Amino acid sequence: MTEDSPQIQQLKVRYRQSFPEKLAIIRKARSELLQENNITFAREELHKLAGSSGMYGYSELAANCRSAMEKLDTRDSLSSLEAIDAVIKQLDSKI
Amino acid sequence: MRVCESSSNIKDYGFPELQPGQVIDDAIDFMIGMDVNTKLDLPFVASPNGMSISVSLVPCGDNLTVLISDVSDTTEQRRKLQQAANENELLVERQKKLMAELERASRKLEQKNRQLEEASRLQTSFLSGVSHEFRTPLTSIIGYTNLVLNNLQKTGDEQKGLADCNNDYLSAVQRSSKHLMSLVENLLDHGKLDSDEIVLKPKPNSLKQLIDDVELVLRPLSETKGIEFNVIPPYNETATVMVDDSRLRQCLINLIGNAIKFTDQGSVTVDFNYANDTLQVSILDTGIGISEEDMNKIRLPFYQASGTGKIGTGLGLTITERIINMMGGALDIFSELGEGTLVKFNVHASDLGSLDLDSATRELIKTKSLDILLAEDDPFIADLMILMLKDWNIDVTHVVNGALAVEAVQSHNFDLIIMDIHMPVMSGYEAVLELNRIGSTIPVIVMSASAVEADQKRAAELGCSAYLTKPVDVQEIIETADILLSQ
Repeated sequence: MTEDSPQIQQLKVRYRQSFPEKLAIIRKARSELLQENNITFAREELHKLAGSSGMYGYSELAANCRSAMEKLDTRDSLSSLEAIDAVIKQLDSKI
Repeated sequence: MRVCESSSNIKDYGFPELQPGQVIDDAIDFMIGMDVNTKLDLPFVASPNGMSISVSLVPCGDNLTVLISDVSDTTEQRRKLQQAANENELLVERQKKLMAELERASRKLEQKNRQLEEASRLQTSFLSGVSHEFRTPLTSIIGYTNLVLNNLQKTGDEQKGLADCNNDYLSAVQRSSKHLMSLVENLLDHGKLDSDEIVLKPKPNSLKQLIDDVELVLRPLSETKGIEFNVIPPYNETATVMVDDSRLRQCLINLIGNAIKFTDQGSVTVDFNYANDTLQVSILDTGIGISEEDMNKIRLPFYQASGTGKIGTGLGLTITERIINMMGGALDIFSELGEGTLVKFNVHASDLGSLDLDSATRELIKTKSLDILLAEDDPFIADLMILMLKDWNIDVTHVVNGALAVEAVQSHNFDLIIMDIHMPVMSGYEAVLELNRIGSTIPVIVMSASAVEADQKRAAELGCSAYLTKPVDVQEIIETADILLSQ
């Protein structure tokens, strides 16, 4: 079976179709980070997205998620928000 | 002289109480003959606050006022004067401090300025270096392409023997294109390192294969220059090591390539040693060496040693050192101008024993039915992995959290467990702890999107057999499974 098999293609389409939902979650994470400083939620969601997007070949998106996670770990709110915005922008462009 | 009035506290100063109309000389004898506007000190008479006092006669209209005062005013004045002097001294001290701070700030500013100038100079030199680097292969590509086009336009007898010629020209074009590609890759790597985008992907590798590959790439370069090229493999070269082979190869090619590049006669000797999960490499050349001044700057990005006549981007060593550091190692350079150079570095590479990684073994896995437990909460990742693993004749049981994984292990005998870390209900780490507690010996491959060293360390501490960073491809899982199941 190659990556071009119909089943894998189908999975890829299904993954792409989940982008609006993923975008909504990351937007929620951004808003919670801004209003309640909820770092845990943002980190968890970015971690999930980093893993799945990388597996489906969206390496740049995965790298941006990882970079945002690292910024969150440094507790630098401003650069964390900027990094999350980059993820949002990238997800948005793929919808 | 008679008393007009007296203050009520005169007794406190040891004088008798005076009544208006009383002759003052009768009451205070020492005033007899005392002149107006003079001051008489009485050191043996004390005021209520213990100070010695003085007496003065001061004209006040038609009367005379007898002023009795102690020296507390003077003391207060002295105190104030002393305070003023102290404050003045403090001010001088503060001023001195400020001046020193100003001087320090000024020196710092000058240093920053010099650094900025140096950065600007390096950038300019980098741009001109890059332009030159691009121009050289591009000129070659354009030139040789023109020659091929000219040849193709020739007809009849002119065409004879041109095929070989064209082959040579096209080979030159290919070489230049490859060089351009490596230049661009270097530039991209540098950018990625700056934004921490490079993630290491260690996987099982044959040490011998790795060393052979590097030798194969670099030997032609040494032959072209006519220098001796010696590669000394480690005594345990058959070991399989867990390392990011592509990044290690990049470091080796860069450092050994540099040694060959800067050696015009003599030899380059590369010595590999492998022990205690650490690969040590030393590269000794008989080249032009590095001056003390260049040695201090050679690790800076874009810096290129002066007077070498060699052109590059000045990024290779910077990138290499940073990758070596990422691999848990360090780089040392020992050199003197005209005396050759010794470069030593080490990287962490876990020993997986002497295992055969050839395709036949992998084929064995493919034909042997494997039973794998996959604990992954993300349905998109799980579905993709199930689909890909099934192609390798692997049965996959999928669970969505650590608790279910522990439950599954208790009711079924799996060959291998692939465990995500971040899962609801029970995390991958908690599940591994629980599996250890119940005495499970099934190898666990931890899989996570986190490339953080602490996570990898924790997995190792818990006794996990391997740690793969997402995105993982199925080949990686198969190779790791192959090694783990052969042990």
